Amino acid sequence: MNAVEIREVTKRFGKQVAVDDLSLVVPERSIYGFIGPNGSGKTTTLRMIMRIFHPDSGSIQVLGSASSGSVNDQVAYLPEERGLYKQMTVTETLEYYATLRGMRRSDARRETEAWLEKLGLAAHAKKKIAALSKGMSQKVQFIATIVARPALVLLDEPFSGLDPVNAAVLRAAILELSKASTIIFSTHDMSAAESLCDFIFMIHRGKKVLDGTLEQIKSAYGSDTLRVRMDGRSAHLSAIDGVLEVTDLGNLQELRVTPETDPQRVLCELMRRGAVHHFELARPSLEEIFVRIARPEPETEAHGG
Amino acid sequence: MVRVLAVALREYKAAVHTKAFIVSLLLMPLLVAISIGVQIIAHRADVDKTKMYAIVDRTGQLMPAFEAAKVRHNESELYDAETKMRVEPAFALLFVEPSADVEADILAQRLALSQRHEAGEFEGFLEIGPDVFEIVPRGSPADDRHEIRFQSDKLAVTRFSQWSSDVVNDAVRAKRFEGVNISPHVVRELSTPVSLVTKASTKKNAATGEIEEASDAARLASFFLPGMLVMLMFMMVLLGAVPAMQGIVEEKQQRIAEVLLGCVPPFELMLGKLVGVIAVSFTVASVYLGGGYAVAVYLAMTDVLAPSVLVWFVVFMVLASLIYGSMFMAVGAAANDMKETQSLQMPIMMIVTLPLLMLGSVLRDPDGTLAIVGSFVPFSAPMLMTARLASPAGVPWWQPTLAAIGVLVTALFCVWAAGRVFRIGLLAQGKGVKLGDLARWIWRG
Repeated sequence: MNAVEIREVTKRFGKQVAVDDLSLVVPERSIYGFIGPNGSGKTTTLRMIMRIFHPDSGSIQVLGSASSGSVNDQVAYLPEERGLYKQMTVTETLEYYATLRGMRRSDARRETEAWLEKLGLAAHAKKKIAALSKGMSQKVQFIATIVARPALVLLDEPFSGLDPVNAAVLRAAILELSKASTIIFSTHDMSAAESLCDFIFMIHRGKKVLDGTLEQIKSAYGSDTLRVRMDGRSAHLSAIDGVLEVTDLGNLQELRVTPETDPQRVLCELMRRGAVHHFELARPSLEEIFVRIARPEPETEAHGG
Repeated sequence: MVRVLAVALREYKAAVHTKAFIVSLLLMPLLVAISIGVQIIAHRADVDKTKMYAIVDRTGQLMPAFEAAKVRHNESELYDAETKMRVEPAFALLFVEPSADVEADILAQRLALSQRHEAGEFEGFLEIGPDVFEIVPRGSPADDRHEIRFQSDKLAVTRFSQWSSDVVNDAVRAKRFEGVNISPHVVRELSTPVSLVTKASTKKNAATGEIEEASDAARLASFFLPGMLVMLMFMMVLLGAVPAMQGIVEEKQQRIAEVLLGCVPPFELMLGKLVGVIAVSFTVASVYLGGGYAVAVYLAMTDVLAPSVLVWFVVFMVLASLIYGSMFMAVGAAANDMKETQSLQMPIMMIVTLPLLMLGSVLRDPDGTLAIVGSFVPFSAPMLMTARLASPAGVPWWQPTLAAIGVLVTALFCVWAAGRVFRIGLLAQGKGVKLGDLARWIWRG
């Protein structure tokens, strides 16, 4: 079964089209990463899955139900703009949200304690939210979202503002959660998306531009990049047949080649020009693909189009 | 339902567990006590004074009568018969030589005396026309010569004008009777006034079956009770609904709103908050009514507040909390900050305060047109119908029932409309919202 099925959904705010004819299927128990530039429609899509917004056209099925009832206890949502009541303690806050998600008080208490322990917050359980650091309150918000073990978890920018240690703790928690739940999260942290996600979805100006596993996306963007290190800096690499562009990365030179270029032929050419210390068939990172789509360079458009 | 109750419980705790709530709960009776105390002290201070009045006696015959009356007043009349406490200021009299009996001179003297009055020399001046002993034929207009005239810029001196008029009339009457050979002694005997007593309705005691009269204190209390209940309801709106509105603005500003909407549908969230507001109202009401009841037990006046009035008070209190609570919440959801709530809540504040402004007329005449209309218009009905119910005159049972149905329908509409504003407003950020926008949100949803 699919956790979320979005079919031909369009959502407008006034004249602006926030989401344009979007279709997306999120399989159960997968981790789906939503990426895209600011204002591209990620949050609007998440809010529509939550039924906080209703699409102007198209349909959205969540956990097999298309009803327009706004909240399902099985769906949890951590919005990007999130706050907590400053005057409540950590425990009070978590038990409140657990009750709102339909948990019994005793269950809520047990789960809350377990999660506080897991995320290293046990010592702060009795503190008021106002007394917590930003990273700590963000972890509290995360627990508040998932404490009731929902079947579908939507996280909008869960890593923003976290230091690397806390980000790693949160990543581990998401992985653990994914054993029983479907997780959709939006992020600007491409390394997190690459390391965590089973599927990546990229939205740009309201339209779907990428959708698939990391493998599928990377192979679609092909092996058009070669990294080489040679004796001396040769300024003549761009003269090799099939090379579109040379980027000097310092120790390495990065060559972008046309898709039909045979890397072996380029290697032969290079060896004729000097000693080759390093030759790598580099696949573009997710970040590079993101930048290429979101900020297309003129040459790419000329050759790729 | 569990979610509604969870929200209600949190809202209630958040509202009641604040210093501001406890302080205002205690401060309100304190303020009332202080304002009453200040008035009593100020009155006491006035009572101990001697007030000076000027008298121009154009008959030239009344000075002895005034002197005698002054002594009587200052030595006995200004003390309360039972408590022996002084309850009025003493009088001092300044007799001014009358001017020549020419219009120009009379006017000049009035001006001069007025100026001395304005300079603070005396509280006012009395002018007795030269011909007050003559009998003016019935139907013909009296003129200056046949009149007593009192001039003052102070309203609080009516006591003196009444007193001086009595002195002059007694003297004039005695003189007139003397003229037809009737002894002033006989006149005084014959004109002894019949005294007037004012009481509330006589009631039959349900327990003993005896026919009883309300005590004077109970009668006084029954006049104050409606006003107190209306003030109580007004305060509960302020202590319950306004903080709820502020709470919603805070939720928007702190970005708590969207987190909440991730767990609770907007309408349930608002219902929970409304239940919280009603619970706060009950808390305020039980503190004050409980305190009032303790005082009533102490003064043995427990029969002042009839149980049926109390029931209606609670019914209208819940309905008022629904109407005003939902309207204030809609404002909170629509506004981006506290400043924006100011302009949006103006019309609501006016609707809430209007019944208070009408209260005086309603209490004076609980069966008057204004009172009846006001107690059926849904927005003022909770307060004004309660006032009429608590007034000694009472109201037939069908009237509060009909009014309550009207208020209930209005309350349901307000909750529904506020729910629509709430849903849209809660996630709207940035641009300022006008009343017209609210109307459109309600209309289109």
